[in-house]
Amino acid sequence: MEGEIFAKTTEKDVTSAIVKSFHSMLIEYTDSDVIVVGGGPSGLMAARELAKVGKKVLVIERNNYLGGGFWIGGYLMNKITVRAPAEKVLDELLIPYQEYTKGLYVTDGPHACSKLIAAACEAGAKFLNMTTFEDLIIKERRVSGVVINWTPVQALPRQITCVDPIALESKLIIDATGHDAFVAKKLEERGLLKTRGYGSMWVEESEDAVVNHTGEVFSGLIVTGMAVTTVFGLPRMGPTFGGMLLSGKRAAEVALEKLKGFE
Amino acid sequence: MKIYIEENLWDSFSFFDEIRALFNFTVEFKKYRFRDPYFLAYIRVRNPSERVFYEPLPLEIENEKRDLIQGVIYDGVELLKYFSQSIDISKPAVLITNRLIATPGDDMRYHLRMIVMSAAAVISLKGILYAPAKPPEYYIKSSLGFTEKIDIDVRKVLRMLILQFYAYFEYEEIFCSEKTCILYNCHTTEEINQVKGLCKKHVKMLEGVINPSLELRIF
Ligand SMILES: [Zn+2]
Repeated sequence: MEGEIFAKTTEKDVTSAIVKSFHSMLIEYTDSDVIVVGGGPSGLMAARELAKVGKKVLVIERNNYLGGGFWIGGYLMNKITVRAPAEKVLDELLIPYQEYTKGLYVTDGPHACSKLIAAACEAGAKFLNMTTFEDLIIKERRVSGVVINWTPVQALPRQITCVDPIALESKLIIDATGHDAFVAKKLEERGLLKTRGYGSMWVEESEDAVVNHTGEVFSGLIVTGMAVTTVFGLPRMGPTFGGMLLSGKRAAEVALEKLKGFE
Repeated sequence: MKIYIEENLWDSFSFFDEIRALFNFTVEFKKYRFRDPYFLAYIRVRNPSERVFYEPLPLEIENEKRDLIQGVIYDGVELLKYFSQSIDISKPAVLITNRLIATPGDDMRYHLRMIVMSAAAVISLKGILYAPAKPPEYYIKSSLGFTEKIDIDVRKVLRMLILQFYAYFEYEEIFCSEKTCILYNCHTTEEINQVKGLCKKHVKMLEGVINPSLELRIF
């Protein structure tokens, strides 16, 4: 018939397409190489690097959207700045940018962020969005998985307590939850780690500090991005994102090294 | 007078002659290395409003060993204490470092410092850049992600600080109230710019030990 553009299907098929494909992904990812908690720039970068070399990576994101603060730069303006050498990452992800002053580059937030998300997807990382990290699985003084739930469950009235979370296992966890450092804080609640809280003194080298301190802080747990400043008590960073991207890369390098121990 | 330069700074340090030229006596330069990476990791400033030390994480000690200390801030009092105990302090001794140092101010919060001194002194070259308060535009631009060039004459400030420590060590003179005097305790870049040379009183005090050219007000 004229004007009929789309193939015929039924509601039942639409539903089962969603349920079955999600279900099989969830089953497959009850066990992965790395779970990245937090889908901001450092988490996405780490996920992309790991998935690119064939590791099984699952990203947990509490929001509906991925990208965290990477959509927007300082003062809610959607321009993203990075300092050299982080423009090399932009090159790698085919994100266009301009040199603003020597060593300082500026790019469009929407373009940079969508490219980074796409890069992580294309590398093969999988995502659970609208999903909140609730707790860690710890076995023999080693982090070995996460407990998660749907984000909307947090908004339910307190008398509805029947929505139990589920657990996913992985060889390594990467805490990319920003200043909150939710994952590291869970270890702290159990007395297994002492986080220091991030400082307010701004220094130009805080980005270097974040990259240099990206690493394993407890057996099986790697911290990246702003979570690094919270765990180590490093000075605050300005709104340049190079540190996030390079920290994500470093986290992936550390993870790959640690994964060798599992082979 | 002995000036110690931290090992990782030695090769790029370019103020040897300027420091020598301050005094009529010999200034000796020596490389210095902190021997205890654990201690350095331990005395890091974590929280600007609390003077509390944490058991270091292994990665922090590892980074100390490898000098990956950019952006790390140290408790200036503890750093100075360690330095003072590791050298002879019967003669004036100064350590010049690239580490950022901070000490608590009157408001009980940590502030970055250019110098911490008592029986000896630690001068932070990066502190000379970061510690003095700048005009407000600088902070606005920084907060927007622009790396503004910091307009400070490091050579001038370094010489001021060394003279300040010397005056304190030999004459127990703690700073001068005259804003143009080298011994004025500057907190802002504007105050640094106002310093011209020694005031009459301090020219007299330091007569004979300092290079006579410093008496001219062309510092
Ligand atoms: Zn004076």
